[in-house]
Amino acid sequence: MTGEFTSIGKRVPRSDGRQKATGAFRYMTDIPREDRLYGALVHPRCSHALVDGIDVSGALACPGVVRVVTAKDVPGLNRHGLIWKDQPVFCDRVVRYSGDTLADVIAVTPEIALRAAALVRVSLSPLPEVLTPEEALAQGAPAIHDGGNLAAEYSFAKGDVADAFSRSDVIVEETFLTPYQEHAYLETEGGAARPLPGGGVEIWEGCQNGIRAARDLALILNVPEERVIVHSHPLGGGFGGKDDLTLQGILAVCAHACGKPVQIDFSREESFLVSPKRMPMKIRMKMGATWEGKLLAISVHLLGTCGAYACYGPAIMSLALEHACGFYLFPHVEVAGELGYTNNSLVSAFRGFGNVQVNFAVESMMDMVAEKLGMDPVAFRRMNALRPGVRTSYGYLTSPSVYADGVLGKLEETELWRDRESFRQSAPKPWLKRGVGMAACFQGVGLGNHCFPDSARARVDLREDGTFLIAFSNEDMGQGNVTTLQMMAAESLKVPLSRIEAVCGISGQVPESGATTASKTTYLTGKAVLGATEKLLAAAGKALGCGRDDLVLDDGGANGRPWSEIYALLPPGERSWEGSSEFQYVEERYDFGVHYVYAYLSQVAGVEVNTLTGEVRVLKTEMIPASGRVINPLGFEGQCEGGAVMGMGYALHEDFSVPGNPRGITRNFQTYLIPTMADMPDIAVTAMEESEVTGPFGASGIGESVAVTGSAAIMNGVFDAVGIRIRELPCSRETLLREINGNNKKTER
Amino acid sequence: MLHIRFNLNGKDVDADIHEGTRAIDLLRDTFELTGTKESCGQGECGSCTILLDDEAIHSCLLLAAQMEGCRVVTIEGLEKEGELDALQQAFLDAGAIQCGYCTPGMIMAAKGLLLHNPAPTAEEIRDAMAGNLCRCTGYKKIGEAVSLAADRQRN
Repeated sequence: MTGEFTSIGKRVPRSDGRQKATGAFRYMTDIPREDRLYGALVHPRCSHALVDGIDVSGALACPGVVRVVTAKDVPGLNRHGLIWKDQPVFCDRVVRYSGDTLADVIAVTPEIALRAAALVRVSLSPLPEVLTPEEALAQGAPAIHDGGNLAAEYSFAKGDVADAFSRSDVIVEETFLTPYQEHAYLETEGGAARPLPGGGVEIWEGCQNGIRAARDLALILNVPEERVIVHSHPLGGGFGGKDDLTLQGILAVCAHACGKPVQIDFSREESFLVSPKRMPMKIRMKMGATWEGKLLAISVHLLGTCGAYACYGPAIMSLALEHACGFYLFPHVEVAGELGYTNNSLVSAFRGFGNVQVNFAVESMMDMVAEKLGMDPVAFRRMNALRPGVRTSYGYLTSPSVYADGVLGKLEETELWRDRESFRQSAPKPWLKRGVGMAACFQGVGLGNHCFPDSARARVDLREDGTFLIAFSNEDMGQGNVTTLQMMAAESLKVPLSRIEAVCGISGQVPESGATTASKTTYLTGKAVLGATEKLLAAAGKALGCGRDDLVLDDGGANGRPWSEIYALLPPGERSWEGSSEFQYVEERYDFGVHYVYAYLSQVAGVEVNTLTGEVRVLKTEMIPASGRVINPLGFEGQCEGGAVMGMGYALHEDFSVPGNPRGITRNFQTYLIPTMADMPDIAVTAMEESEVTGPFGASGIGESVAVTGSAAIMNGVFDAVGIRIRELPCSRETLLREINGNNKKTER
Repeated sequence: MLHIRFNLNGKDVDADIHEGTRAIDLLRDTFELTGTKESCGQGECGSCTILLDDEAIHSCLLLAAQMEGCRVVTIEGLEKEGELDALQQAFLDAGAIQCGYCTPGMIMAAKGLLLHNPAPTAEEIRDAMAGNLCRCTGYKKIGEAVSLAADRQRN
């Protein structure tokens, strides 16, 4: 099939790669520092308190300090938030977590600002801290917000679950715990803002939705939207963590208050303290099946930690419930989730949001049920997997491009799965035990039909020299969407990739294509780009005196005329075209959102457990993604490999401790361990390139599914190796060693 | 205040610095060589790696004063007359770059390795690069890029 394409399917180095490799690439935190002031933030030393007063006189007395900005300086709405505007830019009455900002000390150098920030005296009256959702939702708990501590609750039920469990031959019931996970993008939050003559600001800070940020900032500054210009591209990593405002509100207020450009750069410690993370979850799950291996019923209860403000919390709970049955078919279902406000870190989008947590539970449970039935875990999954044209457990029909059984079938053919017995036997020392585990997932593409409209616009301009400019808002945080969209435009116009320039991430100058999140840019903005190029081709056909269908495209033009000539033939108003696209939604409505388009993926992991130290190493992993046609294999593989290692970090090492956690507070990479090259397994990726029939060139989205299955695949491998079932992530050496020693004692007795 | 002289990317330079000025700040703020990145500020992530007399070193843990009399190479010093260093080209070709924030440090760490060991094994690459964090790539293509550059330099 790829033979018919000129750009798509080629291994294309990313278009910004040369600049990135030479150090010439400028991130928002690299803007030359001339004529600007520097800010240092004051955070509270507790996580729940009333603000009685802020004494800034000591800081103001420092030579070099220009101003201390507080809530009083916010000209408009001192609130922002992705779903509800409940998070203050500057804390006014109440401190709700230790990452809140009370004041920003502005000085002529960053060093002076930092020293003076320590001299700001804040009077706080402590309030009782609420650190877990159990405490938050208990009767009589101290209220973190006026409306109480319940941030969201959703549920769905179908059939007669109690009766189905009574008819089940095998029942498994378990509780799973998942931790906070820090995005740990290497570029910390930072940037600058300058006041615009006549009001408003221009701001430079990497962000996954610059246009929405501009809208929020206009409310905060109380100026019309066009008085705020946001430069949000590029980012040194995002993974969901830079979706909401991070520093932009503070930068905007400070630039406005000082009448001069202001810069703030977060240290790693401050980034860890302030930034949102992956939602911790307590998952209770019960499954029932017949001896024949047919799933009969599932019951799921999710309890999520929301942190101090809503941020993306309710959307994550919604996504978690949507994916809580995996891609398996249960005739009888009851699922429910509650989300409690707490006085600790916020939760936001994070690669696979919601699905990552529940997939650990579902895919562990599927192995446990299969084991009780004495069935092969893949055969058991295939027997119960969603199929094209069949309604999901919740009763809706998805796009017919369903590859649940497909990715499971391909997994059975992998070398690691086929030869798992020889892998088990290959451990070089008697205290090293090896095992093989697998897991599979589907992942909704886009935001679903829960709380946000999800559409995209893009523009294509034909330029005088016969080259093209494509414009859209989606920022590139590293995932490579700019190159992917350039390739799609090049393909549709049948011109070399070098003829397509791209611009993105400047509010007011590019069409709005929505948040850069939820595996959706290739799919949704890709369709918008193709919509725009189609309109341009139709206009070119008209100008050349033929219809679109009679247009013969070649390397540099159409019908033998180069694009520079076609430019001259086109009326000025017909050289630039905009395309748009929207997601298709299912007809049914639920408490929580669902999707029409899903990506599918399976993963097998070969692990080694050191029974003397409790250390788990992933030696090999193989991933089978089914995300439709692969546009750029080089970028696609990069997503898969990066996701596999990120999923491994979540499973084995990454544990973000927050205030109230007995293990203390995580401050930097000494205590927050993300995988290094020394931890890297042997990774293989085999894409199942079956078309997503609704997608551009048959593509869907790859960004998230790659990070979903790692924890269950690895923990199923640990069970295969040592017979120990891990129900709490990460699987620390201490926990595993305790379990191994406990088991040994039982055997000795 | 101190006055220091050193060789930066092939040119003799000098600067007035405070005793406590870090090398990374002098490079980024005074010389505007922003290819050198700060991500942890504590020598944990390797984003700020430069070469100091052919040794890969964290510029966030180095005082600017320690560069006195030394040959300093940053990521900006690798490209020669428009031609990329073998490592830069290999990172591009192998798809080893995503967000790119770790890339300069990765390339400088690899440069330090190849200067001392022009034919490293996969194991040696892992050991030498394990101090450089990347959150995007999963490291596979980075390891491949270093091998590719070493192969191309030898052949």
